[in-house]
Amino acid sequence: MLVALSSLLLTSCLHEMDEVFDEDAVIRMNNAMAEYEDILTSNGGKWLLEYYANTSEPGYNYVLTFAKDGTVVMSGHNKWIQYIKNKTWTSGFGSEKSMWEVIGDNGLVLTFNSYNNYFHLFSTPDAVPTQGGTSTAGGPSTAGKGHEGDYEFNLMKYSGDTIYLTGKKYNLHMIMTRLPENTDDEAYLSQVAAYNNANTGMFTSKLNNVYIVLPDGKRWVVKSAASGYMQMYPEGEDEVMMSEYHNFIITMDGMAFRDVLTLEGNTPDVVYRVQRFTRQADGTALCVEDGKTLITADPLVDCLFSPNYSWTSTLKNTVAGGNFVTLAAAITKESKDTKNGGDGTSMNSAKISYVDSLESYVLTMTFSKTGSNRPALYKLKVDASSPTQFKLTYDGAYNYGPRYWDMCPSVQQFIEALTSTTMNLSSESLLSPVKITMSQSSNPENYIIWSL
Amino acid sequence: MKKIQYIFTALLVVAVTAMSLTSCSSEKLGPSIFPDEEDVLDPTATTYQFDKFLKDNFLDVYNLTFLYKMPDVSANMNYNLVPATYSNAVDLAVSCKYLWFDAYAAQAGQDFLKSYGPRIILLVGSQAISSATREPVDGLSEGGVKITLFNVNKMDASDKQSMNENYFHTMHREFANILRQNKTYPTEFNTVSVGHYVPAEWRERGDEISSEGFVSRYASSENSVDFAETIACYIVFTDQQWQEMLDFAACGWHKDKNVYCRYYYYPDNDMSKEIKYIPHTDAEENKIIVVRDADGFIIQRYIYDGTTHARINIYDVEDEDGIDGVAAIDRKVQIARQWFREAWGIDLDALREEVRTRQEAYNIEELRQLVYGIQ
Repeated sequence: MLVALSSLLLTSCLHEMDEVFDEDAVIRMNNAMAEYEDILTSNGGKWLLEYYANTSEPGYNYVLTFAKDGTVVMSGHNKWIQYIKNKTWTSGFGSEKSMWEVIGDNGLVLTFNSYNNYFHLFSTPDAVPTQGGTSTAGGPSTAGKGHEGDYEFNLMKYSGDTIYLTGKKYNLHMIMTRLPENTDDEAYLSQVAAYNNANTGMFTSKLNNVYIVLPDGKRWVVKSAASGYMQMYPEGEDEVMMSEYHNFIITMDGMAFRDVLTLEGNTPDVVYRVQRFTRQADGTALCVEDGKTLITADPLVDCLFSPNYSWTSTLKNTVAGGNFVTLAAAITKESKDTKNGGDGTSMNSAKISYVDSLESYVLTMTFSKTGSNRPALYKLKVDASSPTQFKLTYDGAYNYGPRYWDMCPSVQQFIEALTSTTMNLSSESLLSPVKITMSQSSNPENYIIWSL
Repeated sequence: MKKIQYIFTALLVVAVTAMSLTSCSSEKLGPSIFPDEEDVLDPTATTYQFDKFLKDNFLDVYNLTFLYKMPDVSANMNYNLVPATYSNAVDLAVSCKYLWFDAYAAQAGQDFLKSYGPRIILLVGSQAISSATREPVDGLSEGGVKITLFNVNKMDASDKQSMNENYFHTMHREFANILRQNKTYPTEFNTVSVGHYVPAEWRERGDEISSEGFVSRYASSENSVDFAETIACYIVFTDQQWQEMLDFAACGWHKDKNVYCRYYYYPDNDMSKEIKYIPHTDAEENKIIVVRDADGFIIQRYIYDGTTHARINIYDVEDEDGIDGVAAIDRKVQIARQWFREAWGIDLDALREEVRTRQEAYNIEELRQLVYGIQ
């Protein structure tokens, strides 16, 4: 014991210490706070915060403009803001000035320490309002909790005009990236909100699923992407047992998951780590980290000819071209012409869908007269030669189909135009193909735009 | 021999320990690592006027830090809370000064507040809602030095009645809590309503609580709360509110289907039929019509039946709870009055009058100028 005690004494008086830091801790803390204040307020002080309130809601974009006088303008565009403003549930823009500070609190903390109606809504303990009376988003059970979002953030790192933060109470990772000084908050956020639209945005709720395609070809099925909260599981495996759930944010240039995802490929023990994706010209999203992983939907031909979807077109000149417009107009003219054998109906729209009873894809032309609809069904066989090319074969008329086939010569010509040549498909977005253009390969001016 | 060994070993340990205690004393402490900076306000800051007001009126006078920019670390991390809006923080700060600090200073002197006033007032924008009970907390006092005022963002400073009920009431209650944390109050107070406190169910009670001798539902939760509530209500209630509370205290109440009723009636005014009770709130909504004799005594009370428009005579429920609510409340006020005088040298009635006068003269527009008028 004495030996041990003595050895302690031998070291206890060693006053020489290595100087790891040049200055005292408080000085260094103050300097770091001042440094972050400069970073935040310099070059116009405008930043994009990719904010996550919790792990089950989508991320929300906030444009923040920091001023040296301690104020910050916080702008957002989401449904919660719109609800505060006028109790409706579309996405809406809101912007308000409040206060900010960098404080030393067990490390550097960025705090938004006065209430901002359009930002602190995620931190208030009030019950989350329910959308349309359902309890999917909140309800009384959330009283005392609210969204459980942070408004104080540990400043972790600054690198390349990106600040890495974690929420102080709930520890979610987030980033802030610098925006150009002349960024118009509302214009910027409105554009992102358009990408975020659940019907026509980067993802659409009209498609049942899309896919994350890994570099080795393995596909993960992705569901409910348009909600901002993805369900995903490896294709071909048990959906219930293998599903994972991840929230993400739609950004100006694509999307990003809240955290890095680790996805298994075809090869055992080989995993792919992905987080950020860039929106490409064809609408698909390409992984920033590996430059290979892709998020896309089924090939266009499989979307158009799918038992799960039906596609419609009015065949007017705004959604069709060439002889398809001409023939559609002629069909209506012939069916309306009661003096020459017509029955007084008009052909209002056409639809491509799978009809279970016929076990086939069908072109349905709907003829209408004083409120009654007469569907004329024309069965089609589909022979796809590529993801965007196929040939149709006429396989008989059903329901009112034979009647209008005989009544309107233009119906026969329309079917002939559909089946006489291979057809090409294109869409503005291969990830969210809510409109698909089908054109004759022999004459692309003859086309129909089908809407999901 | 063994004994000598023990003694030798013990001496060695003592010597070595003594060496260790002195061995590091040769070096003097260096300068503080904290920078020697004065706390100077920045005139260019957007909050300069407010910060100056708080410094001049709270920090410099009472050594009180008024935290309106809420750091989460200062609040209870078990709650989800948000900061106060700047404008409401200003309104509450000037109101605190006018109706609380200045009122006490006028009656007890500034030194009283310097000694016993809180050292920290923290404003929180939201309610603190317990996730377990889902019940809100509107104010807290901690350790006799800190008062937290919640729900500041719902405050409407132009609504005098709401301010009185929701904020000034809380301020005076929490300050009473601080005072009783500093000097104990007479134990006799705890005997007045002994056996009638309901710590878990007080929120479910209604106006009938006065009949049991309490000034509010919250007061019936436990005796220390009762003490603070009695003081706060006595100070901030208007004469009309106080009298109404005493009227309720003098009433009888009947519990019918989990609702307390102050009146009963006979269907079709037929006394042979079974008595029916009218919930107090229903009776108020139906507007009770009172018929008095020439001397002003009530000879008949009735309400209209909503469906038949028939006149239904209603009668007071007899007070059968065995508690003289008015006497209990009066006794509690007397004890508080005596405690204020003897323990603190403060005339509670004069303080009440001071607050009342200020409440009547309360003008938030003028008070705001204390901040926004700073050049």
